[in-house]
Amino acid sequence: MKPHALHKNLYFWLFLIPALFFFINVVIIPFILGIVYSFTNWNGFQFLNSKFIGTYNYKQAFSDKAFLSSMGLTFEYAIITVILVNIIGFFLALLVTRKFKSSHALRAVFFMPNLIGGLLLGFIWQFIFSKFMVFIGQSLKISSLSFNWLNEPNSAFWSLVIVSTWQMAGYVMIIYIAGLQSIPRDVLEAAQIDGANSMQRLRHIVLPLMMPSFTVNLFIVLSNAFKQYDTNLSLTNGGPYGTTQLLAMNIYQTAFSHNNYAVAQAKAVIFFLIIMVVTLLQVHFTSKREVEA
Amino acid sequence: MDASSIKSVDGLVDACKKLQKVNGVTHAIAMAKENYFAFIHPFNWGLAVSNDYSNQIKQLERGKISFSNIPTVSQFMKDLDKILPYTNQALDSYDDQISGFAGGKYAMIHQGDWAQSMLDQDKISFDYGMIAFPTGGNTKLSVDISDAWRVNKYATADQQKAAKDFLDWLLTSDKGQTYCADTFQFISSLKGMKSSSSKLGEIVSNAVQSSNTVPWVFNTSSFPNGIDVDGASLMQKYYAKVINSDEFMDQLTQTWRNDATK
Repeated sequence: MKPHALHKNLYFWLFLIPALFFFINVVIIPFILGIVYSFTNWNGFQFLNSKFIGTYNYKQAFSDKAFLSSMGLTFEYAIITVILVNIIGFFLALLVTRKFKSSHALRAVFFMPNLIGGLLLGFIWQFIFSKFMVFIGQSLKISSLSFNWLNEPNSAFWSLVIVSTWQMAGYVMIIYIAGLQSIPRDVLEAAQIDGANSMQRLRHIVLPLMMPSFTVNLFIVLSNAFKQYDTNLSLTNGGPYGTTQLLAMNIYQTAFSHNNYAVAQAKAVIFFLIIMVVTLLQVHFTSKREVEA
Repeated sequence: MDASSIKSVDGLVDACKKLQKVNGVTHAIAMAKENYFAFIHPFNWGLAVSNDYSNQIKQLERGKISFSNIPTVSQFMKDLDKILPYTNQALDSYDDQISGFAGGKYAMIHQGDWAQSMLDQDKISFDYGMIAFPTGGNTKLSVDISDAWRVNKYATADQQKAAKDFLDWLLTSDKGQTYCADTFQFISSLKGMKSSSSKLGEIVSNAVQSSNTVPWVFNTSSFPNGIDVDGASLMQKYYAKVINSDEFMDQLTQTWRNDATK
């Protein structure tokens, strides 16, 4: 090899190796170990004397009613959150790409909730939903609002959706702004000259050209919603009598409260497969609809 | 209100009725919603006052009996039914429960001597103390060891000797005993040792000295892993009146057996 090519290769590997080292140690190795452990009767501490027991842990996982109901709840939560976050984020993006004075400041304001970590957000909103709602309801004499939202299963679920939407809408808004600004101006002007009003322009030009942004945003919100744990923990902690327990919390409790590490590991592998299948399907279907200007 | 006059749950209910009429009291009794406070500590009464709890729990786990067959547990749930209308339904956090007590919102709270430091922060002006939960006429406080210190047998001989010397100093020397009693508020476990000087600590110490206590059944290996989470969930359903005490005992039996066979 010529000295120059060798030089380039060396730098390539020098930059790559540290990141690759951490990635392999922190992600790949535990992932493979986890899959191996899920087929044994690992007690969570020493792997030395664990025996291979086949799919027993997986059968246990699927016969656990709490796991199945958490799964159903998480699907519901993910679908509702994905729809709400993307609708609100898209309309916010349309709003702040209009030309008015405070549009740039508004972008920062809408994005700020995303900067607050999920755990802290849960605690702040917990105060709002339990104490503040009661206060507002009593001051304005609206008795249908003045209860602690976190004490009823239905309203606790919706408070979780509200907090997640509030957090993620700003993030998807930023991506939609980038998508909107990348639509070539001449296509829109040509449509305007041809007599298309703004609704028609939205439906036939803006939305199809925005499909790549939809692919990215749907994927991000879907995978984040499935993995939701910290806001779930700080806002409801499983909610009134376990009714808002999402999948990640169920797996955590199986491992650390019930001391059942091998079954929890099996549940975690199932969890990974579900998210992988759902998001791959989603990306496949939305990528097919992407068009060029 | 003379607390020593409350010797039965019916007496407790009468006291609750009187206390709820006092200005500022929203609920006579307040429970906290965290797992240990909502389920483990209260439910312990039902088993601790039984003189055969470990056998009963073993039989329950083998499927021979359920909780409603254990007389002290069934009595405890009946008692809980009686006081339920006077409680806050375990909807408050630990912080809210303590500050509610200090502010006069709650006349009684289900807590232990560990809450002393939080109560001291709230600068309480009235006199307060502790009574046992009078299920079936019980008058004994539930007291047990909350943690134990071990000398590591894998440490070197020098390290082990140093550890034992430290423990001797902590329990016998004046400075060590001051630490135990005043800084850590420990209840003395040995005769002749200084005990906690806090208000609640003294009450517990007296109970221990006169052997007027019942154990913490959840401290033994009788309680299965995960029952704190599952039991608390069921207890909250019971408080919210989604299930009644019979359904609670049935569902708890199922969950207990489930958790115990993992």
